[in-house]
Amino acid sequence: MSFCAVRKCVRKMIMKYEMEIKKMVSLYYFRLSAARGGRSRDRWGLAFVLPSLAGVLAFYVLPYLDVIRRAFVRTMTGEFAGLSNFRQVLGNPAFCLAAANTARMMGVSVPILVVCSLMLAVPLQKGIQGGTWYKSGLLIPMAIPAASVVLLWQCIFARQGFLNGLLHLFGIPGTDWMNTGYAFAILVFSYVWKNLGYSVILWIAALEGIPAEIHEAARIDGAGEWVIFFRITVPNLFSAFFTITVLSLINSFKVFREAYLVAGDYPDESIYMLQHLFNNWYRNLDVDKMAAGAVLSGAVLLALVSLFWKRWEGK
Amino acid sequence: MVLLGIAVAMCSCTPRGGDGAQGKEIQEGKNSGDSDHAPSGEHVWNLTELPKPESAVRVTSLKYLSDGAVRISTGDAHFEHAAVMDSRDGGRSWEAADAATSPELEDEVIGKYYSAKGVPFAYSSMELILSADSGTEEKTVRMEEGETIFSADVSADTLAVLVLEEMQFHLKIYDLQTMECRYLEDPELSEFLARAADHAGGQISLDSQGNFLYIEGTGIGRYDLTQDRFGYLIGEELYDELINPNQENGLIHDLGIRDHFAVKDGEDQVLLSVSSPVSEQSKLYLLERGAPKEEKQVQKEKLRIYSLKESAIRQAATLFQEKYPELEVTFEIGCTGGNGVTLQDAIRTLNTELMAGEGPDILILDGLPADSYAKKGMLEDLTDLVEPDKENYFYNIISAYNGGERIYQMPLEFCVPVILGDADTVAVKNRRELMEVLRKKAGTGIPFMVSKNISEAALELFITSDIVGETINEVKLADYYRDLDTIADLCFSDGERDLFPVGDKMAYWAEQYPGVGFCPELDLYFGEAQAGITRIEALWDYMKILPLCREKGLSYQYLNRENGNYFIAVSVLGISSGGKNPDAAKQFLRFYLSGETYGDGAYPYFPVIRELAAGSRYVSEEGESVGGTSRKHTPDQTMDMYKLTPAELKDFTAFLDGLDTPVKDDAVVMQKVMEQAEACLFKGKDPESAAADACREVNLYLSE
Repeated sequence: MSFCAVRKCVRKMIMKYEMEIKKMVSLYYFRLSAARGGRSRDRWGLAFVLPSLAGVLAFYVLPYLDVIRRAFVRTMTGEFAGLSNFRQVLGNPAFCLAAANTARMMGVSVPILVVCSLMLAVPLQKGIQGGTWYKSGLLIPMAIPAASVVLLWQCIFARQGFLNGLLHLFGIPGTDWMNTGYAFAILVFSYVWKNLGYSVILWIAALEGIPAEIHEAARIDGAGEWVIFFRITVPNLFSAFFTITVLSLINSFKVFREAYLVAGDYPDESIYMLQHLFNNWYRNLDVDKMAAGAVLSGAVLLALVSLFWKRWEGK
Repeated sequence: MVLLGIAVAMCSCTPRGGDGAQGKEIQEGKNSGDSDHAPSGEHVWNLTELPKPESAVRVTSLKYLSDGAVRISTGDAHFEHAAVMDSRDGGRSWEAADAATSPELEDEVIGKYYSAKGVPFAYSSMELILSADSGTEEKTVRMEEGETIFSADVSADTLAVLVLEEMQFHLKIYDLQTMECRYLEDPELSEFLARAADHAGGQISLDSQGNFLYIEGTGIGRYDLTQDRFGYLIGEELYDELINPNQENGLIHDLGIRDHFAVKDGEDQVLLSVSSPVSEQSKLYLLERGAPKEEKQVQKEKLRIYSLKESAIRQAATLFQEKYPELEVTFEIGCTGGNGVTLQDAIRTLNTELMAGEGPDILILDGLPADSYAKKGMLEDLTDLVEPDKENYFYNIISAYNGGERIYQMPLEFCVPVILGDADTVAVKNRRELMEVLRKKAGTGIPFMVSKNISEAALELFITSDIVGETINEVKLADYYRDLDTIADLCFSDGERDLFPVGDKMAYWAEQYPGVGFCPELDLYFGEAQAGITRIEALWDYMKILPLCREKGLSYQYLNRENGNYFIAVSVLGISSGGKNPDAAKQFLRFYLSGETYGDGAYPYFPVIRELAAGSRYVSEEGESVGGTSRKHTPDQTMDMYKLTPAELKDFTAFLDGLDTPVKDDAVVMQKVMEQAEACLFKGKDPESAAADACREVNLYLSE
């Protein structure tokens, strides 16, 4: 090998190493800057979240911790009461009735809402004629204040209301809908009607998160629409299932507003909810019982949410 | 940011035309009234209470004389022993007046009246006599047919008479020289008089020359008799503020019933005589125009009294404030019914305050969850405050109300549900026996009880029954409804159920509880019923029962006495253990129990203070007549009533001493049960379903 050839070869090697070193240095600096930028972003993120976190802490977490404390003490004297408040609450027939009604309300209305909203969301997501209008229409009940809804229910379901008037036209005797067992069905209907739009929107968002390629691949492989729905769409919606179910559960507690506004402190037994009881306990200043009741219902909800989480989020 | 700053600055600099102007207007009104002659500037009307002459209880007339002196006539509590007094220092001290005797007149209006020159006059509803003066003769003025003299005044040669004709005020002005009469027909004056009639006004006063006529009503109106022009000396709003000095604290803010007034020449002083319906005494006030009083901003200790609904304690609070001006007493009503706040809302708001340690010092526990408060230690133990003087009170009531244990709830008043009738009727001890007697006495031609008595009977029978325990006993409730139906069957005439007025039905009376009910004594007295169920709420009620016992051989007894001798506690007071001023709260209770807050026997319910009954105006050695009572206001349908003799009072006190069981009068339970009772009696609902419906609603409430 001539000298020139050797020099060329060495120069190439040097260049190669130079390139490598440059690459390494630039990678080092890139990583360094990325790390610096990330920490900075974390700090900004924390700063933005902090007010909300403080709010949650001040208005939810700390009060709830205080409620837990109060559940084990006599409120006025502060004396430790052990489990006696819980025993008192669990032995209270009104609590048992209210808890059973609340559980029944959740057990009936949440599945109806989740299933119905999914059934509506699927065609809407695929795009049907007038879908946008339909989606907007579904959201209107959310915009109507509870007091107005209640007025509407009273006009429809009162003894002298529209429904009885309509039935009368067909010779069917009417009834006092809100003061009989029908009150529960009306409340379920009211809840589903009010929350349907919101759940549909959530389902549509979740459906749009599923890559279209998967559906296309399945179709190419010869799968039918039902198979695609049950084998591909539903499994991909488990995470959304969790969110929507938890939100629906929380919203199911809010039907108390309607029940209270329609029928007051003592509605028909079938719609006597935990909030009615807590509301009435507060009138008697039974804070010990309220605290124990709140801890019990909180614990049940937590257990339920944990169960859903484990089942659908796999955590 | 700069733009925002400029905008804020501009907003804050914008002249507040509306508010500012309005504020100024009010201030001017307050300062000068609406007087044409009022000095402008910083003068305001100041209110001062003046001393009364010793021995004067009532002020029956007042007048500024031409020489600037003030002349009043006074009397004792019964408007007797009249005296005429003069003051030469604007009402600050008094001396017996050297006044001529006023003329005598049949049925004359109480009071010794004098003209500005000191000439006495008197008037009745139909005529007025002005005594003779040097150079003048006695003059008599008679009203036209249908006219009634409401008030009158004389100054110089002017006689002003306010007459009432067909419920409307008119003003007549007489020239005493010529005796010519003219009516004042100014439209503004007429409007003012119409409003004065609606607001218990209508007193008149002349200046010493007889040129200006002043009328008290909504404000003090001034009529210029020389120019026939109406205006205001003190405007309505300002006058309202002046005579309602405690408006902000919820106390009874009226100075009292305005009886007489007089305006001094120059219009810088107005004398007012008012009488308190509580103490039944007159007070004198001076409204004086002058520089605003500089009130020292002293930080007063506060005493908050809370009542869910209107309560007689408000009156006591007002008197307590008068007696202890170093305290700032406020009386709060949770549910006034006027602002959409329900009873439940009010209770929750109160509970929030109590939980936050910001609650009132004194709670009037009527309608509040008092047992729950007591159980949770929210009420002070009052045993040591009440027990040492227990012989002064109906301690059986206090003790029974607290279950014979420590006293946390102090019932201040009470009443007794009773049954009236013959020996058979009053011997019954429970509803079953009552029904037997009722069936036995049916068909005698006289109803067992009058139909209008049924709602009160239903209510009293329920609250004195054993139907309510931990929850309602459905079987017993159905029996109760069945019995009510039987009573109605036997006491109502044909078709009467259909025409029964809503205001006489059970649900209405449950809502009004413990408001007054029906008064069956008259029906028994005039033989229109054989029995009656009612309440003895005060001595006056007992005086209605006495003629039945004396003249008709009837009697009275505790109602449903099988399980105890029931009483209804009213105005139950509790002192909040979390209150800011427990000492003042106890001081208030002591003040109340001293009996100072009660007038001379005119109280709606029996106070727990024993000596009040003994010292009442309704008790005398002779037991003389106190008039009569009637529902038809005809002499043949009037039942004469007599005072109690000490022996009768002793018997009755022993009856009250026998009370040992508080009724079960939970408002929610009563309301629901009575609604169903009404449905049963008047809508044909069967007793079993009515009882089932009532239990479904009420037992949930009771089991909470």
